[in-house]
Amino acid sequence: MTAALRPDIPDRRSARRTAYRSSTLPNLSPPEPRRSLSDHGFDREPQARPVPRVTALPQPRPVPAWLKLLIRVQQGSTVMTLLLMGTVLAIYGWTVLTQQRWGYEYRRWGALQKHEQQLMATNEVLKNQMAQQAEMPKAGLVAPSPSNMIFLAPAALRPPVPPDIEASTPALLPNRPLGY
Amino acid sequence: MALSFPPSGARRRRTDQRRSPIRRPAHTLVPSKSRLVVVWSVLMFGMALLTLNLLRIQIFQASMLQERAKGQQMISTNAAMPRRPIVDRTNNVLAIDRPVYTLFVHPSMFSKEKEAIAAALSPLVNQPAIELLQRFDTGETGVRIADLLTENAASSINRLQLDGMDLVEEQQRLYPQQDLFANVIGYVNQDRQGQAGVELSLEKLLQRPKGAMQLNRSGDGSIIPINLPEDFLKKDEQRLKLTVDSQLQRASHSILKQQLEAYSAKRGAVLVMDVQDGSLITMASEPSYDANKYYEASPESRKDWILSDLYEPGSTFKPVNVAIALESGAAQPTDMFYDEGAIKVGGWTIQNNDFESQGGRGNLSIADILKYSSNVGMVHLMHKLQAGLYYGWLERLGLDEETGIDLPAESAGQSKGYEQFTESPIEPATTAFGQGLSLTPLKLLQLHSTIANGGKLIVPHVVQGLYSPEGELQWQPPRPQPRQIFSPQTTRADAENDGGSGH
Repeated sequence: MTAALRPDIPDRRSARRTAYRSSTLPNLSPPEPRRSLSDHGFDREPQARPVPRVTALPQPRPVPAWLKLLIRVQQGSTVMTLLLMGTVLAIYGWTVLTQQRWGYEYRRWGALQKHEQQLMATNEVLKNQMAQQAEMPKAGLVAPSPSNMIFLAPAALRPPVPPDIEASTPALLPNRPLGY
Repeated sequence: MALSFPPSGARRRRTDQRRSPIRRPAHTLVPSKSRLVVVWSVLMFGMALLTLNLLRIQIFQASMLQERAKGQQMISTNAAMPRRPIVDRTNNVLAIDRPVYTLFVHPSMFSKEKEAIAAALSPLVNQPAIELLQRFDTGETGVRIADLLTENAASSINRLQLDGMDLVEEQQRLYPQQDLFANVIGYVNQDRQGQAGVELSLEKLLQRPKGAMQLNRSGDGSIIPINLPEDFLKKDEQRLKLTVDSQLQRASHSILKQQLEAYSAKRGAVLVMDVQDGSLITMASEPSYDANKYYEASPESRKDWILSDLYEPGSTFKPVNVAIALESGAAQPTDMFYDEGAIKVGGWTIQNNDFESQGGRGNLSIADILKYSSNVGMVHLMHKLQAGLYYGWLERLGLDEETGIDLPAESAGQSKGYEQFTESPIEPATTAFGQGLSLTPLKLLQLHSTIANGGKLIVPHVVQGLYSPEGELQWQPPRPQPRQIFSPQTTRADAENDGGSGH
């Protein structure tokens, strides 16, 4: 909510004028009010025509090189600061993100290790159980012994067959495309 | 809002209007010094309070708060690192750690009713809900509910998302083969200290060298990877490999059990050793015990008697004596000895095992002496060797020394002193057929292996070394060089002669 005061409104015009003057012609000595009035044509009463005098506006003083340099430096550093801020934020965000990711992966790794350990233990327990079951008489399994094995006598060596060199040489194919 | 009115502004405006005909601007603020003072003092008071609080936190409570923060952010992982797994020569796991959980509850932190919590927990910890309720009432915090919970039960409890539950992770040693390797591997006690077997003799090696660590923790409990120890992620996954073979051990065990029953024997052992390098492939002994429940076994059955108990080797010692006689040159492989069946030595009668039924066997070759296990023949054979020299040979074999196996609690054999051995003729005579001295079954195995491997006295062992999961050897225990005792010619002749000793 805004509440505006309604005070006695100051003369905006003159305020603007003075502002204008003070801003555009800071180095001029304040002119007489009369002339200023006539300049703007407010004064209806004709008076002696003033001699048209053109006063050259003072050339704006050239900005000194050091100031230019400083301005440039300021502009440059502003840009740099913004860039650096952006970079810093990005890097910071990245470090936080990687830490989070690292923590997540580390936890996962730990869980996987635990599972591996568990799997190994369970696997071995099952192996032992199976071996125990196999040992039971009603399992119907017998331990391997020479009496229940088949021994094969090695066959006599076959006479060496001389390789047929001629037959094994393949007929040379013509070296041209076969598709067309 | 740009302006604030004093609460009495509206009324005042009305009275103002009544009093004076001139209309005053409606929203003029009347500067009030007292209001300024009030606002200022409120602000100042607030600031003073804040400053005081700052002082309190930053100076007076600083150390306490810092400690508390550290306690939240730092975790020290002195948690028990899993012991190394032990595997056999074909990489079957013989001992492995598995995570188990102890459940503590803090009834003061319960956000649900005790009855509901007890009902939810009851099937997971295998305890009746009523009992749990009683336990809840025994304390405000830290009530121990269950030990040795499995990973599955623990994650089920976690999934319940109950307040006031505390699962503490520990490692438990699991021996999947139960009683098969109990004498070789041994067991660890509640404090995770090895108490027997390899678990005791290689305690240092099995415990993983990862000490206490300080780690930073973030708000959600995950570890912040800052200032981590250098080898934090380097996981040492080496495993201890033994020379034993599960399959052979199992087969030996079942045959041993059958034989024990058949002869109603109290105990028995099967030892299989590679005579060239001394690696034990089977080391089955009965009675055995379940290493997972070592506390239920009697101390007597927990003893590895293959290493610790002495006995008279008897006729099984004869081949060793023959090797001594041949190596020393006291006898030649072609020599013949007359077996009367019974003789008198130093006033004592020595006779053959089968003297009653067979009587004297007459002339016997060395091979026949061993074949018939003739005591008298052995006495004649060893009589050709001077008692002092004989004693020297027994000393070279290290009869009263340990074999040096990498298992704990090994006993050294016992033999007579030099004086007694050389002065009374009965001593060398009884030693000739394996009496009057005592040794462990393992020592006898070592002595016999010298005959099989060309005369080398090797050191029996069960540890192959530390291996990476990829199967690369990382560490091997140092082993002494085998001592050459007999020449290969002697042992070859002896082995050819040995047809049936041990009756």
